[in-house]
Amino acid sequence: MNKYVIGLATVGTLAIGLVGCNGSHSSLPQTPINTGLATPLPTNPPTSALAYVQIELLARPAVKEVFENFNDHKTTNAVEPYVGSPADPLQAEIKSFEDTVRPPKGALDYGATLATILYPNEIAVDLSNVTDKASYLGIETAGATGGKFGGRDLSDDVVGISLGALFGNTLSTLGVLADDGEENACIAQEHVAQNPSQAKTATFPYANTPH
Amino acid sequence: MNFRRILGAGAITVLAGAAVLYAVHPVKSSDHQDTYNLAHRANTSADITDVYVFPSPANSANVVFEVNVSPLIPAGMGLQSFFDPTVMWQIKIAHGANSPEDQVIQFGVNGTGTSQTVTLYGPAHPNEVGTANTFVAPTASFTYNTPTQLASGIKVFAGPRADPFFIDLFALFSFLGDRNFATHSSQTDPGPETAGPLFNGDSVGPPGAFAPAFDKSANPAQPTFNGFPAGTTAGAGSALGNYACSANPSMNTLTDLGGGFNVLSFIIEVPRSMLTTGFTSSSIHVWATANSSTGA
Repeated sequence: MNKYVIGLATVGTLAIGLVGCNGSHSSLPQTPINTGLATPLPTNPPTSALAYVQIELLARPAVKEVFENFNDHKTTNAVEPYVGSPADPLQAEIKSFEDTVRPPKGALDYGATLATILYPNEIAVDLSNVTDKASYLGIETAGATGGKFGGRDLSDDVVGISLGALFGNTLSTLGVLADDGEENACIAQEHVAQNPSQAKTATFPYANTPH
Repeated sequence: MNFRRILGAGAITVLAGAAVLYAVHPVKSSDHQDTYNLAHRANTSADITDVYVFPSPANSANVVFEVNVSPLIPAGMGLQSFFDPTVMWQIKIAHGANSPEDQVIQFGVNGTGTSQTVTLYGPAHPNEVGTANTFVAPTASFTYNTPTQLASGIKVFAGPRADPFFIDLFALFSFLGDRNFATHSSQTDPGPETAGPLFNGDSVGPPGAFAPAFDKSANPAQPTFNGFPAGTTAGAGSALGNYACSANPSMNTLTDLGGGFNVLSFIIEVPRSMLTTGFTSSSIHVWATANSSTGA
């Protein structure tokens, strides 16, 4: 099957010749090679017909990892992100964690608010938005983090965004809650920037080459 | 980010200290995890480190999904890291808030080593919702570490990339020691969380020798990141007290140790129309899973 594969460095005449070799697989996609990308192989699926059981789950960064005790990750990893309590301890732990560093102050309950914003633990994306760039929590913050497409860009400072919401004044600045005066500057930012070697590139697959 | 990626500081310390050895002696499972069992799988590609969704930089009609796995592959070891053939990786999509997935993109792998092939399934309606899943009809297969164009307009890639995530991991561990994998001895060991609900410190684990920002003597009741101007304090309203923030230099743990770290990436570029046609909403909610054929 490897004869059907065209490396990135082999385009042009060689590529056209190899595409021709695919003729015996009439059901395969026949893509002109003009993008610097390889052609697909004949489909070669794993043979197992078994049901695969979920052992890992991830969506938003710094939610399960910050709020939830390490040993509860195994429970959250094995459920759907919208199942809620009691099957999933995550939502309750968002509130309990936040309450420790930022106790409710009258009607200003940052823990309860964050538990509502961050659960279900899913990345929201607006596919109808073709003008904005991706920005972590962009939909939840009405674009305050950089745009209303949502999603998450490879360059997003998700730690900075998260720390500002949890321990800083992000929520009050956005008008979600009034300022409770309980910000903790020492953990509201981490002073780390993305290294150029980690940056997104202009061509597919966009993620940078390995170190 | 995946603070879970937040490997055990012990592990990263080993990585940093033994960086020279990696060139001649692969360390296949030297990483962090967010569960003890994920950390101890022989192949760590079931451990998802981050999920990204962004508009295609090359075509505004397309959207890109990236799911990174196999955290903390040392510099120079990317092309010696491969996917686990017993695992199914899924990007699950719900066209509505707080609802089950109604579309899936799946990946499975055949073979091992550099001849490994990857099969894309979907985007398609899932055979079943929930946590036990089967593969939908295959779309195409492609070769490990080879960007591939499909006739449908989809582009796919599965292979090593630089980890784009950035964090001062050791600063975090200085006050959230429970998140350090190395502080847990088994899947059922609760670890430092038994010492208190939060900021339970790093009573077990790593030396600070390789991490200037890591202060093992820090008072876990006074958590702080690094890089603050001298004289900066937590603030008068801080529930944990108004104490001095750390002026130690901060560090990007994923690039400042051992030449930087890599991950294995599943990257797929899809026409937006494939995710919206036939659905009543163009707003989607996305999460990724790793499923095992053995259930472990």
